Amino acid sequence: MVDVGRHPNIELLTMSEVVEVKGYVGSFEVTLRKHPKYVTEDCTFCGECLERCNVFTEDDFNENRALRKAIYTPFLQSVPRQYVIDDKVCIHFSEEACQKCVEDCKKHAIDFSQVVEEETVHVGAIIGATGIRPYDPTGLYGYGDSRFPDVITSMELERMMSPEGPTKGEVVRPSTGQTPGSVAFIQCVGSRSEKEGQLSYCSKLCCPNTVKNTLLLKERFPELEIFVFHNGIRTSGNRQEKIFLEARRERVVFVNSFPEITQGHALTFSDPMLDHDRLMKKQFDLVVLAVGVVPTAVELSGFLSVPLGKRGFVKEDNQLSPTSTPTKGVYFAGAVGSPADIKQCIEQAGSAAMQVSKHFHRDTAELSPVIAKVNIEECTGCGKCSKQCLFGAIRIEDKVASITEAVCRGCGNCVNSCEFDAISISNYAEKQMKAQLRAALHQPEEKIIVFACHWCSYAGADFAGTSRLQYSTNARIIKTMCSCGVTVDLIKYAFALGAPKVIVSGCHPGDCHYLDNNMFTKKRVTKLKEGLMSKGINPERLMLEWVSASEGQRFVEVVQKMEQLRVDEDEIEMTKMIFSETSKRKSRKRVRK
Amino acid sequence: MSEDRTGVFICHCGTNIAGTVNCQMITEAIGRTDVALVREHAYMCTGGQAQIVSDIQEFDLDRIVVAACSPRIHDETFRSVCKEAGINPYMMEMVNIREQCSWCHTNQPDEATRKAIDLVLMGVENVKLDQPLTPIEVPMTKKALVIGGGISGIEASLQMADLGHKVILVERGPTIGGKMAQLNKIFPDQNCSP
Repeated sequence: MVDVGRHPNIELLTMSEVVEVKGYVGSFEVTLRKHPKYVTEDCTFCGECLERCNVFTEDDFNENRALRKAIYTPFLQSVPRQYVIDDKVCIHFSEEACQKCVEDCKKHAIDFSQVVEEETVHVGAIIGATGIRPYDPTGLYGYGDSRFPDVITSMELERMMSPEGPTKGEVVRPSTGQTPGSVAFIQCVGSRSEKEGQLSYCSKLCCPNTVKNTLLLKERFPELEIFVFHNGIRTSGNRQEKIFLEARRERVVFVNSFPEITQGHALTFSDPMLDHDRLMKKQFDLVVLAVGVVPTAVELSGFLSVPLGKRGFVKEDNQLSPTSTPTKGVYFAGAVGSPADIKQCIEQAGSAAMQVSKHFHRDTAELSPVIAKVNIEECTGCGKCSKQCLFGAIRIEDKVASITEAVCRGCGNCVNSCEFDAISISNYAEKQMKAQLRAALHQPEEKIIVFACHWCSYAGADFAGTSRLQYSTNARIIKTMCSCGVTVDLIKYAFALGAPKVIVSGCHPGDCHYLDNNMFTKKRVTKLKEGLMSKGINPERLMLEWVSASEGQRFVEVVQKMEQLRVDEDEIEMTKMIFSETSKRKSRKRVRK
Repeated sequence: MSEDRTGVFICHCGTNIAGTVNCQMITEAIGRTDVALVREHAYMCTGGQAQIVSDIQEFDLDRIVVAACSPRIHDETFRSVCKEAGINPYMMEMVNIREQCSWCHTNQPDEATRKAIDLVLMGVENVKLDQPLTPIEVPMTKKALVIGGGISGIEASLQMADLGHKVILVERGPTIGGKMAQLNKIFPDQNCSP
């Protein structure tokens, strides 16, 4: 930590946050908001101000189990070594206009005139590392309930055991201040649960952390009785199983069951390993909830335009590039991407730093040319494409759409919005997909046209092949960058050519590589299916399915389900007629313009 | 374009493709279209590369279709081959006749061959409309922003700074250290928190 403070290449900005990020790899323009510390860099950390201040508030660094003053430092080794004033509690900002710390500061380092400042910085690459926060278990096992004062979280125990913590390292029952004679740990608090507001995943850190704490407690109090209630202890990897076995040798009791808590911190539980039916009841002096971890990625995702996975962590570009995001020049490290212990955080930080260093090794960055292109002859400057683009890559200049090439990701969402065929994705143009449709449907027979996105569904089909899963030979896959690039026009064109069945497939909701663009696909396909129905066409002939890269089996099921659908020739002929009519009408409209 | 200068390259992938799909029938079917050249090779991604380069030059091809495995595996390989042969690397389309054909229709060789022909025809129609493209070059500001001063942000900043790069580390709180600083000791070796 101190290395950061004194490194000549690092500019450390604490009490600061990112407000907005514009630009692209090589040239990001970042707006930062710097909150006032009210203490200048002249502060020598002498501590006289701290002695004079007598305004107290809850100390969040100690999980609100202690008090701190309005002028403070979270802990003694803080970097930078400088006090700050908490303007939410300091009474200088109230009617009292207290000046005590100012009076006592010999270095005149206190400056109440500081205000919030905004600053714009220019950088070439960004690493997001906002980490995790502990799950708030209020309401579970009576936590936060005055009836159960001796139920604490694992983070509170961590502070209690720290020599700098609220109890100076003494482990005590909060209700009495006495050393406990028995401690119960409850695992998976908030984790691995489908209940509303809880976390569906394994938080991964809680099992080894609890095992660590049982050993530290046993070292100090060999006679302490410790029970760990769990849903399967997960201590994987090189050295973690070792400490688990060590804890068992130290007579820590592991019970594979979740208890109920009743008055007097009595836990009721059954132990299927010992005696299946018998319910046991045991009173504990201290109950520690091993809480899960929650990602802090929502805000980060907002200003960096990077997608989040279903569970709220940053989604990596692909599994083989675990610290990359789909945005070139934006990387992430640590638990913001998945629960990670300290060693893994350090490994990922190294990986992300290497990615950035690779960029800095060159004077320029190279970006894919597979992006949107405007045909200015056809463009009317109506602006619909610009409104459609979630990345802000299209602006209207001189009544024509203009693409900021480095910002465009090439998803193709703009294409559907253009009534004049004036915008297309280079080498994934609509006319190219139509040409492929003509080739695929020169004899339509029983064929199934499958539009598959580059990132998930196409990879899912690859995985089906690699796994040698067998499916109908009628499938003809056409690759798009994103499912949102499959225009309504294109689907109608397939039907006009006599396609009996069409599947549109993309990444699962929340997994799209272009923010939430697959939701546009859903809207379009749903509407088109309604249109089919109103025209007397079986809407099941058009299917929208989400297939991820790992779902080879699902890809096969989707194709086979479509294969089962029977479409008679009359219906195909009728569909052909209906959609050739509409495309003719559309082209006439265009001529009139 | 007055004359088609498309070359089609069909990979056997040893027996991975040719064991199921009748590659000769593809060659015959595609040969009946107006493409300039159809060529088979046992392994297009290895020995076949040199063949593609020499064919592009000898037959003055301006675009190619490679019918082989998934573009997710070898798109970049064949783009480099194009570059080496002196044509634009984006004038190339891969057609997946392994994952999408021989491997998933193993017991239907006739049907698989028919499908493979369709897929190659689709690729030929696609490549005809490809445009030469050039990657976009943008200048690089050699300064990084790290958001978050926990263990990950600290370590990433130090790594980059030690390599000589300028770093701005932004932290919302009054100190760096993050959650790690709150921990007493860390598993599995009970070391003090770094």
